[in-house]
Amino acid sequence: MSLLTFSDISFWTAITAYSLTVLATFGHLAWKTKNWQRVSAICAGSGLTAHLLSLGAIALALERAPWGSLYEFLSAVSALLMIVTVSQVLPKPELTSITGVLTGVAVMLMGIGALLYAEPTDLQPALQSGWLAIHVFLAIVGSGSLLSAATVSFLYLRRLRYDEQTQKNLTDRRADSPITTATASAIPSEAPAFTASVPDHTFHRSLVTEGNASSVLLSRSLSAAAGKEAGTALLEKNQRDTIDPTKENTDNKQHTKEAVNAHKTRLPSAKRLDTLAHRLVTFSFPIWTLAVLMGAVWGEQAWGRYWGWDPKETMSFIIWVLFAGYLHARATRGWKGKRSAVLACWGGGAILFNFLFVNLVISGLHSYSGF
Amino acid sequence: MTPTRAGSTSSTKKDPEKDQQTTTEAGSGNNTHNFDALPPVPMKAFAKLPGWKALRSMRTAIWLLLALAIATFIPTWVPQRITNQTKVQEFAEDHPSWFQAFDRLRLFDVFDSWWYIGIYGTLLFVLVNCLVPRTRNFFRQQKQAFATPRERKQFPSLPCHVEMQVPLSPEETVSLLKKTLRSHRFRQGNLNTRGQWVAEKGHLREGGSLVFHWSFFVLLLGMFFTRAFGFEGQVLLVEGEHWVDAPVNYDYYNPGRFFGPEDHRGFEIAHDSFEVRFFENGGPADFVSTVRVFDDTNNNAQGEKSQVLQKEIRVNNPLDYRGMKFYQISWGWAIRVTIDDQNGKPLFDDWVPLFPGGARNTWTGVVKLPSLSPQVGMELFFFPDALLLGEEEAADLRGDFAGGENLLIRLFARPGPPTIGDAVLLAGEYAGDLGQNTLFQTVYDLRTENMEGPLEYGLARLSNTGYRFADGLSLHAPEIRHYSVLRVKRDPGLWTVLIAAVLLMFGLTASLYISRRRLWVWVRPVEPDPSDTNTATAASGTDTKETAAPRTPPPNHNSTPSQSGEKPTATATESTTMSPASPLSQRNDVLSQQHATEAAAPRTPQTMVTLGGLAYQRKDAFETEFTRLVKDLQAKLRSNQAHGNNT
Repeated sequence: MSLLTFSDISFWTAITAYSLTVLATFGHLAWKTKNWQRVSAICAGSGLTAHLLSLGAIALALERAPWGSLYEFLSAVSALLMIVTVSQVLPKPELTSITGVLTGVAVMLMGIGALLYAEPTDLQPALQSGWLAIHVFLAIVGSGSLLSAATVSFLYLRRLRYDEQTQKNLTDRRADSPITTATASAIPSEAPAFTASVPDHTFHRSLVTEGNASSVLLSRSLSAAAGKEAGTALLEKNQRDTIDPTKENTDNKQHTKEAVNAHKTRLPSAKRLDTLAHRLVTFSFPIWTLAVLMGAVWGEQAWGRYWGWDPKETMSFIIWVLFAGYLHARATRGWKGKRSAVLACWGGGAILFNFLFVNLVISGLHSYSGF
Repeated sequence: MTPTRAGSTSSTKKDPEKDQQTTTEAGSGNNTHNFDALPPVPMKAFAKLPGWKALRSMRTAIWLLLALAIATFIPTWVPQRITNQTKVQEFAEDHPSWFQAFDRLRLFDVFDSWWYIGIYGTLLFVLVNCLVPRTRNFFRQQKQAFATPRERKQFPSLPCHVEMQVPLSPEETVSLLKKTLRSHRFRQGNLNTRGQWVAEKGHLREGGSLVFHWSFFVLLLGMFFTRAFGFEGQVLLVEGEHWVDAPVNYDYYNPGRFFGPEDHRGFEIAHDSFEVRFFENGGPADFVSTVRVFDDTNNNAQGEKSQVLQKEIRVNNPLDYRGMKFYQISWGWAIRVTIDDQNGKPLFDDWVPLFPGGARNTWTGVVKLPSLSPQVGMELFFFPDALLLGEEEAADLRGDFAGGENLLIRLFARPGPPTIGDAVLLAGEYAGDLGQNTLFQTVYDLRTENMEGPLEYGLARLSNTGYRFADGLSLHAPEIRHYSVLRVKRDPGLWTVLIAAVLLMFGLTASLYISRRRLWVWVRPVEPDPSDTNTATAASGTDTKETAAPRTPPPNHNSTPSQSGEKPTATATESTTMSPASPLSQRNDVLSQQHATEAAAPRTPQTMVTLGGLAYQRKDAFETEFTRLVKDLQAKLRSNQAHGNNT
């Protein structure tokens, strides 16, 4: 068996293992048992090993960096995504949902790579340079981690939306509920709203048996209920500012709807997601910058100009500007949170556009063997 | 882009909670422990103009960044003159009316359009507007932040806080502390009369951010140099050709505004050979142009040129000679074509460059004979290795050479890497007006609008049989060679751009990864407390973790040093007190007593040290750093004490 055949087999092993990881993650989200998590960790770990072996085999067989065509490039990007996932996200049980989504993105990229499969071959003259290893490696690391940051930002937006909806439901129900009005007439304070939310605890208790995380929810929601004297206005304000667990499962009637939305409540808190996204951008933005700069140096050497608004250059500049915007927005009042996350999502969209559309449809100087 | 410096009211330090909040959040304001506090800069008259504030705000900058991203996205959909002139031409022919509108909006030259320049110009203006005050403040801080702090009776409440008693004299303690902090690379200011001073680390975060943002202007400066004093061109050199560096000898010539013909060096290049190698699978492996450079080394006017160097120009390996760079860009076949008239008089004998991409895998070229009347033009199709297709296979290709003979219709160039095999040159003859003065064309184009044809196809085999056209012209193709296309460039701004890129990278890394943190130190003699008779000797370091733990806001008002000074700490060798006071400190006392029985001659604590720390970023990481610092301090104090005992 030649090394290249081995590489292909490992590649498909990795895709299979990653798909199983995604399934196991869903299993973990649904049943919250330790075993599911163990399965997903084993799958992701063995998949990543096979994936790295696949890239290593190409490198060995052709004695060059294993990112010479679009197929290899996408494979390397997803390997990087998986490295981030396995090292940063997977060890934290509360971030399981992110593992699933990131692995899903990796599987998607690998699938696209497989569609564009070209047997790894020797490189064209323009790619025969030490810069290939540096520039393309940095581009892989930069785009892979920026893409994961964008994914996390997207999940953050979903979580925010969910929080807002439950908040809205809470207030709506408070206005409509006959219990509320009845007790409100009895007790002259805003407290009844919380009396109405007492039945939650039965639901919470049922969760306790299933997992540790929900017991935290229980205690926190109980303490929040205990502090109801604090007044509705204040609590509402708190709920708007921070993510309050009382917002989940506010009514027995809503259980069916919440079962549908369950995967969103399994997401980490909005604050957690926001911090994670910011950390990932802080890590990858300088790398992306360096990738662009090194590309410019290489362009100067190979094509005789450091910048020429080639489609790929244009796109990488757009990605750079969008994430620069994200970093600035995150430090600006009024842009922090939702709006900055939207910018990061745009950046992620630009990366995907760059991978797929610019590579496949538009021709430019970067259009070697699918690049 | 700066935290707003307005409204820095002088807080009275009576409210430590508020004090802390303003510091950690805004990083400005005239707080007692805030060393940023600088006198406000008087506003200039123009700064009061309406809209000026918007031109300094981050929000405007973000919108402009967004606009820049969107504007930069347009070239993905609309072809640009700078990258793809032919596509623009195609667009103009396909949609003439749209072309007019698009062109008026400068959509084909986005990066030179007024609106694109407007966007980034405004962005740069906002940037300068933010950077100038920030830079001024940065330098002012370097001078003033370490000025002697104002004397204070109370220690400000800070997120990280530790207090210890030391059996050394205050002077010894101060020198030891200063040394330790220096070894931890804290920059320190002077002591005030109460023994208080400040230390800071990580000012390079702001410095890095400033360098990063300013480096864009350096980058633009470099680009401006290139555009103004640089030059760009392209030459096509057939093997064996000698070429002299002069404006007329370029196939494409684009000098900068201040680049004149006198800036050309006038040296000579001989293109000796071009070689292209292929992998087994047919992919190109290497392109090499071997050249020799001849220059007038002795600088004597009109002197003879001698060979100065020989070089193989490859992709990724350009020739750099006297500031002119030659890059391997492209290559192809050039065929020597001779055309004689009916009397055998030579009309044309020259190398004709052929370009790939013609019908049926052919390479195409053009021969123009303007001296004839009517003028004659020939369209050349070159088959490096001709195949003769079957009648049926060729049937659907019939349209390619309309009016040609049956044999021609069946010709096909073998696909794959171009190697010379059964090489055939096919020439389609046109007669009429070449339109060299009326129609836009390059030497490689044949405009057939005013010509008749193709009248006849002539077929010549390479270095073999020729062809005689009906009008008496005879065509021969005696020889074929490679040509090489080199991009020639002079880029005086390159180094500036490179420096800008390095600055940009360093600045960015510093501004993202360095966090700024400050320490506030107070060393003073212990006030004797006669009422206390207990001996409490602290085992230092046992609870540093708790000691250095961050206080949860709101900070305890009781945790001021004056209060802890009143605590019973009489004969401790070295005691650490927690703030806020908790049961832990009592446990510590118990531990200390146990330790005291073991300790040899305990010395009376003479000095009280209070250390407060504050991080502006990465607060969690600072907690561990602070703990480590305190541990190190205690170790140093202990070893110093032991040393003192021995001597």
